Amino acid sequence: MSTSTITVTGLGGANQQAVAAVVNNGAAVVSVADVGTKESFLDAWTRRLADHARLLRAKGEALPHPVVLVYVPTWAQVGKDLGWDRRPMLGSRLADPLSGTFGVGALNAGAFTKPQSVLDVRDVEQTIAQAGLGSCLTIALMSTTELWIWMQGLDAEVQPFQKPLDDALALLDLQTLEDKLSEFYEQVARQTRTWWKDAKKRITVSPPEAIVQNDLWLYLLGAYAERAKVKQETGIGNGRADLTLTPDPSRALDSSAVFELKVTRDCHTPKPGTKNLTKISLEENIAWIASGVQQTAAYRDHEKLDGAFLCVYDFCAGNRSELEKAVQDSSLQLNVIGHRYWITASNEEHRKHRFPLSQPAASAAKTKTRRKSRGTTPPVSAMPPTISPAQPPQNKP
Amino acid sequence: MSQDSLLNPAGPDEASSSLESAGMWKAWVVLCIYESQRMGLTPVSTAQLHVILYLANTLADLFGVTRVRGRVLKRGLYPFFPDVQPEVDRLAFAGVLVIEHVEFGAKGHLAAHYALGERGGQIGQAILAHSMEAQRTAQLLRELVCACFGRFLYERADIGAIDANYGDALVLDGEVVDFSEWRSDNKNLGLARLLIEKLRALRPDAQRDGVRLYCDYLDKALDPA
Repeated sequence: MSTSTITVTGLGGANQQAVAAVVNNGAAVVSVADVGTKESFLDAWTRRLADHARLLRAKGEALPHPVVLVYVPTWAQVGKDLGWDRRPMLGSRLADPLSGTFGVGALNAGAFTKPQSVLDVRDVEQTIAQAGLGSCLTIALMSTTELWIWMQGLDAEVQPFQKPLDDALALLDLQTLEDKLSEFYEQVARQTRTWWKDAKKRITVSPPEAIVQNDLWLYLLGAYAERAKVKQETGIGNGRADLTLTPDPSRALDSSAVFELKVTRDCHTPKPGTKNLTKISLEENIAWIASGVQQTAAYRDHEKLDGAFLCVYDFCAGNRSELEKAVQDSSLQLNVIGHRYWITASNEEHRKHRFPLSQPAASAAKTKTRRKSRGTTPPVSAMPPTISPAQPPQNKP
Repeated sequence: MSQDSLLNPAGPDEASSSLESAGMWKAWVVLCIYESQRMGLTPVSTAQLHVILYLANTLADLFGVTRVRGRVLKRGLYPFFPDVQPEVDRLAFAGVLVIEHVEFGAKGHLAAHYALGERGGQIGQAILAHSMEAQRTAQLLRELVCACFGRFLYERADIGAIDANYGDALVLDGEVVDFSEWRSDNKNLGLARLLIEKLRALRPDAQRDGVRLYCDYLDKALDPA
């Protein structure tokens, strides 16, 4: 929309040109979360550092030293205690020099920064260790083409997210989003710690959907903040979509999408102070999956979005084919892109799933013991048959 | 000063000089400085404080908050509430706020810069715990101080000429800017809603983005470059 096409009347002393400028460039202001939150910080600084790198590339300049921003909710107090400099306007202007800046903050602009520049990766690591910031969300622009994000901080065992910065941004289509969901599954979801309350009993944290959703939200924000609005719990029609992705107006060819997340599990998480496990049947899980397909299709059609995703994070034992079939069958009916992601509860389960052997290790060990006790070696023909991919392995954590 | 006096319900605009209105103003001032301090944005100068209080009153409907005052005298470069300043001073003398430093301007004009005093933190928390309305007010002020300080308000507070209500040419200098008599009179809110509507494709959040977009408008109008 050109500035000349916007005319506002009856708005008192409003400056027409400034109103038009906001409409034309308002995407940077529209928020994904309340001010001061981790999500808002991640969205704003990923976008800002990516823009800053783009500006340097356009000017043919390099970034001599890293730029690091660390999210600390109590940043003002932490910054004061560290004796760092208060820079309330840091990041508010794209052209401001940022090389060597190490700051703690919580807002879209402004931070307390270390008085001395950070020179390299070793310097950054030392600063983080000395300031006790190892568990805080950290965003680092390492060069004009490379942005790194540590969602849980440098000390966490979760892999950092590397974001390549490129002037020729590839088209963000539904296939790219599908690949990104797979990447999230491989890099974040296939872990056995933060989503389980008691992995051995297959009891999830509570509420699992909210926690999975928040992790995926942060992941998508880190990936696409500079080109799209990734929002959580957007009100659509009579419901609220789990996650929506809306490209910025400047990225008109990119695809928009809604993501509905469902968790299937064997039992409800016991309420605090209780131990009773309420089982969830296979039929209930299948019905839950079907409801997710209907929801995401409805949101897509209501908002005229390009795509609808159903992401089923399956915490049930056994990697059951019935659930996979339910996802695929129901998704097909409403043209939804449906995927089930099985969440393993132990390293053993992960290995069995990813590196299946023709003879399960447990039964092999049992056979070995039996063999030992008998003191004989069975013929090869006595080994159990190969497990077909469709047959779920007997996972008993 | 008791917390009860801070938390008395607001009276109508006409009763602005009443104890109830004074109490509400104090509550808003404490919440404003409390949120500013929490966000690392203190000290807040007198001009900045009055601009935030004015904008909060004009945009209160976005957060479902009952405004304290729907009028301001049009005089000077930015909205200023003469009767509120004594309440701010009382809070400072009572130790709820502290004056971190004072700027001596031209013709004997003083500008104090406020932060939260020792008692201020406790009182701020007590106000927040009191009601959902107080929490919504704090949320409004939090969005507002962050949206303003991240942009224009650090450098200048003279929003008078470009503020949709205050800068309306139909209201002459020395007259009262009334943005509460009729809904259409509140042009700040009208502009915020217009911006939300224009950016509907991005699914803006009516509350927080309404505040942010209006502050972005002020920023762009003050610094067109």
